[in-house]
Amino acid sequence: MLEVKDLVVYYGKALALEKVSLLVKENEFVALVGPNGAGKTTLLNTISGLLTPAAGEILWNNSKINGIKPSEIVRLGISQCPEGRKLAPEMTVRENLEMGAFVRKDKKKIAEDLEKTFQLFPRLKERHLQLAGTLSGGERQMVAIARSLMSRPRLLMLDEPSLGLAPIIKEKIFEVIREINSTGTTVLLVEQDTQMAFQFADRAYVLETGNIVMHDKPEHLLGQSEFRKAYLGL
Amino acid sequence: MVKRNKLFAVAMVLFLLVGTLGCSSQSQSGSGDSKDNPKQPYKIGLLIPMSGDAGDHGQIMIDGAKIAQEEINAAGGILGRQVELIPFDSAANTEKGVTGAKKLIEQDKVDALVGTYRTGVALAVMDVAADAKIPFLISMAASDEIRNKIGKDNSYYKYVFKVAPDVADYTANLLPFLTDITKAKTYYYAAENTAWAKQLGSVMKKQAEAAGIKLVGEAYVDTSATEFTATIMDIKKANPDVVVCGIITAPGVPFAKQYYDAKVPVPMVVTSGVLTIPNTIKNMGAQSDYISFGLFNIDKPITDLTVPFWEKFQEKYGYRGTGFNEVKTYDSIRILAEAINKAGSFDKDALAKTLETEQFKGLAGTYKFDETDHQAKWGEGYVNGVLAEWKDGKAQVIWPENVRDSALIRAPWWK
Amino acid sequence: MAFIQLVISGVLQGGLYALIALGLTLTLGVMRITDLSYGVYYTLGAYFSFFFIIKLGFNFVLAGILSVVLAFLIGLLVERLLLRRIISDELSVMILTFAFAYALEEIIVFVWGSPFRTLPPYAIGTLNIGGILLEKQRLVSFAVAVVLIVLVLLFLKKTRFGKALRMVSQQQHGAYLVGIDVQLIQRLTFAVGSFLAASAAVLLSPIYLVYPAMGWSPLLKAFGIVILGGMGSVKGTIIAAFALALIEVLSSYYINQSLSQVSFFVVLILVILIRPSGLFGNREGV
Ligand SMILES: Nc1ncnc2c1ncn2[C@@H]1O[C@H](COP(=O)(O)OP(=O)(O)O)[C@@H](O)[C@H]1O
Ligand SMILES: [Mg+2]
Repeated sequence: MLEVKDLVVYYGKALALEKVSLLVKENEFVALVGPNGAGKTTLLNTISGLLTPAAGEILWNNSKINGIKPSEIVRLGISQCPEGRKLAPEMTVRENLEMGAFVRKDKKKIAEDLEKTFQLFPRLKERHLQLAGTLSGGERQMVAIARSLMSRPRLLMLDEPSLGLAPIIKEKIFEVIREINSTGTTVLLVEQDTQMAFQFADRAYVLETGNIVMHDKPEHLLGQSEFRKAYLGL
Repeated sequence: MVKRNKLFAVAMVLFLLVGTLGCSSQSQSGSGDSKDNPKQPYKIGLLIPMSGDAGDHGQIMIDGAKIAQEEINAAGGILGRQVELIPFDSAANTEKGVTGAKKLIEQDKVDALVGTYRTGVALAVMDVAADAKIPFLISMAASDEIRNKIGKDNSYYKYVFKVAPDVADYTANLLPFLTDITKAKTYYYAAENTAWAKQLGSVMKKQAEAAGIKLVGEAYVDTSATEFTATIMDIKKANPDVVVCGIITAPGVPFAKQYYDAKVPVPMVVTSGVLTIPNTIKNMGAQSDYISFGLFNIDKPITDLTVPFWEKFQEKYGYRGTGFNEVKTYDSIRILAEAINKAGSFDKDALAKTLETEQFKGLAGTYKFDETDHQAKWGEGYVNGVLAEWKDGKAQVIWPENVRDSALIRAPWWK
Repeated sequence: MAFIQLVISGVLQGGLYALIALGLTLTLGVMRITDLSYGVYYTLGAYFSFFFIIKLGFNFVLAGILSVVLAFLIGLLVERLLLRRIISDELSVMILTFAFAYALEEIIVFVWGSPFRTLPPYAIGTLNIGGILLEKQRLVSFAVAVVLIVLVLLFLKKTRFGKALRMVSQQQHGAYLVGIDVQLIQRLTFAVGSFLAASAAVLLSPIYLVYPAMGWSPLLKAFGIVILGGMGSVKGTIIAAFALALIEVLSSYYINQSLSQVSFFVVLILVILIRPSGLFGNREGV
């Protein structure tokens, strides 16, 4: 479905991704882990069209999509729930969610999806007229995930959705992500909490300073002592 | 990427700068060195504002200067040399004025300088001219700082003369409005918050008090003000016999409009500036009615040159002069030519001597310069002005009585 | 009585300040640039309406509409040809927009000459309501300004483009990710800003006067208003605009007429010292 081949990305002169390749198949749940500053966010932003790669290819159902505008990427069915939520603080919860459907024209279906979203996050329904800037961290994360679903993506990329959340809320968020995946949306999850991510992932990639250093099924990775030492502190 | 943008920006800025400089130096001409050669034109540099907030005035000055140039050249030039005018846009800005004076002197090799609208520009250009020993006739900048500066060191400023009226002349010109025309006992001074308007205000106060007229209120509004409810309410509260208006730049128009709309029952006389210019008044409709103002000149037989000049000006350019910009520029150039012709040589000291001792006829009367501070004298027998009033978009002369069109036209709502 | 008259005059003036500053606050919020050429569109609006009314003899409604549409189109062009190339470099933007405004002033002198111009009022006379004076021209201009402001607010609240504009202003990164064409929104917003500046000029030119350097003072005031209200906050901008007008007129009468501008900047500085983000500064990056 999504195939990244030998991707090279710079910020000005600074190299951020050296030669990254990655594959996500239809309906899969893929985890991308790695230390801070490894380039995970950079990779997602490049896929989303916010950054232009210096070399390499991004293929979506076998056609090249690098160089395409971010709005086109969303239309193709790739959605990102960004690190730090990136909500509009002075817009209501409802307005933020509606913005998630910006690329869609089918008003009726959008309204239906909004209802579905509210079923998934009943909390948001209660607060739909509240300004996003006044929500708690967990609520904001829910809005961010819900918003990224509003474009009806086929691939949902989540960037550290559990960052800064209390453990109970974290579990709840992961359950929702699992549910999203099980209802037919492919998931690419960037996560610091490796243990948590590995409970759900079909496969996992490990990114370190701009390079994929390992990729395998989670249980296999967990079997390697090097990996356990570096990522689980065991 | 970022670097390229910066380069692009720098390139654009340079391009724009070159563009603006290029425009103003178009009138450059070859620089000959043999200065007194009768075949060489006599070059007069005109330092005038053609842009900036006084940009309004520059073209009028050029138009007046051109008539002087034509007349002098038709009469055989200055001791046989044809007059050439080289204008420079000083933008009423001291820095540009100095740059312009230097450029005119060094590059264009002008023989004399005429101009400057702002006092600040005049004060700075005086030094440039004095250093280069170039005659400089100050045509418009009025502040008494100029004559004081000349008076303090008149051997250094030997070639600098002030054709422009003095501050006291502006107010002396207005005084008959208070004393004779309205027989006022009190007045209110509404002006801009500028050094010039404050200076005018204090001189006015002295002259008025000497005539037994009391100042009952003052307002100095910001030069960017556009709303004058407070000023007008303060005037109403002070209840003067006359309002003297020293708002002479852009805010003059909204002030006058609001003054008219509020039907303030007090006659108003304007010192100078925007409300005395026909172009400004043209589309104001009734809102310009009943505004009186001082003028330094108008198409009345002040001297035998005056009416023919105004007719020629109107015919040539299709608009009326302001009575100041074109008149003072014309008079300055004429005085310069007449003085050299009288002196009979291009020798600068002979020119200075002649300017100091002789009298010169102009549009605004007879010019006689003070021997010490080189200020053209004001009053009976010398230079004199007029008072006029706008009615239906036309300037009606209301003073002096021997040349007036009518007595003061009273607004129905005046007390 | 005096107080009521002053407040009413201040409110009438405030409506027009709000209109001018509204365009700037939208542009600054969405573009994230220090645009020093905003006053240009004010100047152009005034000159266009002078041209259409005086030179071509059009009625003021037609002249006004043509003027603001032209300003809108020029805004589109300037964004595309000039700003787009340099938008990421703050310093270039400041230098270039300043140079552009300055150059345009020279162009106006070249095309229309430097003289002061005036326009006749289209609503003549004064209403006297129990001793309170209301100039009809200022009333009409105020009313049109308020209608325009309300339309802009509705447009921001209700329309797809309006919501996208707010999103870009509040959270640009998020706007990209939901598929908003940020550059398109920026271009249109810039043009809307030009349109609003020109509208204010169309409404004010029968009251003030028209001359090449007329755009600088509204630029300065609009920046002051936007900073006081809080960058990018529409509500803050409108409140600050009325505050400016009231401070000007009240301080003129009760303190000193020469302090009308100074008073506002004193208030501005005090507010910034206490609240650096202005009265209603945006919270960014939630
Ligand atoms: N906007 C940026 N400009 C310059 N360098 C950046 C920028 N964003 C990230 N980087 C650098 O790129 C590298 C990868 O960052 P990032 O993709 O955010 O890592 P991660 O998401 O894995 O923590 C880091 O060294 C970071 O400092
Ligand atoms: Mg990251």
